[in-house]
Amino acid sequence: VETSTVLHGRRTSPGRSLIDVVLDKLLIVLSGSILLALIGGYAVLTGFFESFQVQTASTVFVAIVVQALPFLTLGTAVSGAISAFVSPAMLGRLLPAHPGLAVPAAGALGMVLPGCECASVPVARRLIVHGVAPGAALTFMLAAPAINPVVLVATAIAFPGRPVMVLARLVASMLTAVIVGWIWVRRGDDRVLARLAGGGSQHGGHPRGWRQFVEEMRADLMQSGGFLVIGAGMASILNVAIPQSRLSFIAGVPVVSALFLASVAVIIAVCSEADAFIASSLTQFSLTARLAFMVVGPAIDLKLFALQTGTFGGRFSTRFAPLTFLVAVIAAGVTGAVLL
Amino acid sequence: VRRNTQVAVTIGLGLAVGSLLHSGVYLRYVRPQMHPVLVATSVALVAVGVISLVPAPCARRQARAAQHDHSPGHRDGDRHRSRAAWFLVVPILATLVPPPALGASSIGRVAALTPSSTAYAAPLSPGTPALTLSEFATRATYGRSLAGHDVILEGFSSRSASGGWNLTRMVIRCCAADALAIQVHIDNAPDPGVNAWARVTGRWDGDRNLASLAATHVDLIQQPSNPYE
Repeated sequence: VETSTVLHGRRTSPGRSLIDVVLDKLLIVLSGSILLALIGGYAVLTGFFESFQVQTASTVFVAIVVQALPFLTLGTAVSGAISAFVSPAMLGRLLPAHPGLAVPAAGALGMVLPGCECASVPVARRLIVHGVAPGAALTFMLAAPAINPVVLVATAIAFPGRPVMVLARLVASMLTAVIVGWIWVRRGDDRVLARLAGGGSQHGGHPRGWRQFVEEMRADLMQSGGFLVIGAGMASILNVAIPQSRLSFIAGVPVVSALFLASVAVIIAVCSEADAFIASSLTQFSLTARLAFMVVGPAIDLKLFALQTGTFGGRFSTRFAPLTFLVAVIAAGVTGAVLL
Repeated sequence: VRRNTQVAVTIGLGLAVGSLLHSGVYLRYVRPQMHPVLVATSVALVAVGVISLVPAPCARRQARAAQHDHSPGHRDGDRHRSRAAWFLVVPILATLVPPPALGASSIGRVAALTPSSTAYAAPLSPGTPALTLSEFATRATYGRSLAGHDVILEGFSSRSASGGWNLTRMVIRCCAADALAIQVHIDNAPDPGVNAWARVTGRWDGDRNLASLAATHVDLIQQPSNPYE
């Protein structure tokens, strides 16, 4: 237990900056009050009159949590299993030693592992703790939910007669994951992740069995789960506040519409297995705008932002989220211009 | 969040998922295909919590655990630092008063489903087949083998923008957050009241632009266990 204490020693860690503390606190206080208002509102208002907005938001909130919880549990189980049974040396053999080469290899690894975006966040954290280059671990985190076989099949079904959408999604999402990974390798400040890597060296590198597996999994699950709830709360409120059916007024404007749908993907926070069906229903938008929606959604949305803040800290998420968003939009735009 | 609280929340979360499954209420939020996955999740969460309760075999760890338990003022290790874990209490409480399935009030919020051009190409089965609203709307849009057939549709009533009422169903692909509405306009029958569930028997009126059914019979029904398509 004592090594884990060091591993997660955020309160006492010197690497924990002021902005980190403020962001964590702000996020928790803000979303806490919103959630309390939501629940209080639901409880009180339903007694007096049917508050449909609040009801719908509560339904969407519970739905996101129920849908994501199994995948988060799986992700924390994988993360706990790596911590308990896999030594950093074993992981080291899986990926090329050079970070620049490890990034595309991690992208390819992400392709074969079907997973939800919620599952890949704790796994990426574990990879970094175990000494995988952060750029490569982040590439894995972006690639795994975006371009696994389940998602590609769902995209093919959602766009019948347009197999080029599947190809475009594959290309644009892989570009996003690899480019973000490379940017992180070249320019990224690994110090914002320092406490994770530092914890890894304390680990001694010895797999420590079932007890460790359960302890790690439970602690990971509590941490990530709490932030999942925060993210789901924010997403459900915005999901209801910004109705999809009233989005069409902007559809005709080329670049703006792509940026707009990309922002919608951040806000409504649906899982990557489902976003293709939403995209296919947004028929008033161009294919490129809808591609941007599908490329941005699995890479960054509100619940992912909350999860990443909880997992890697506010200093990381406030840098990583805008970077990911920007790269994803550009990758989708370029891919769309070439292929669609 | 202290270790004991973590264990309690983990078990509570597992039991909450279990109760949603037991009552069938989980179908208000996700698709039936999620059932085995949610069963596994519920079992895994309870197992992780219960295993955490079993004392570690190593005496040193036991001693340390005892120290934790007997010193409430102690900072309890930063392992258990994150207060975010408390938020998991919210969904546990929400399962005690589970929010309702999406209904007529959510229609303005979600986009409408676009019928796929390739689905439902086979001819209708003889007699009076029960169709999903998606199938009816798709066949109506592409004028596919509906003519001359009586069909049965189930959904809830919602007000139509063009007057009268629609039989409506939400279509979900993953969870209720990605719901799309599918609507069929009902002619020749009075509105059973917003959000009332109905089984409507009738015949396609030949309009390919607006899926609509000339009703011969409307039965009020209970909300089906799976409210979505």
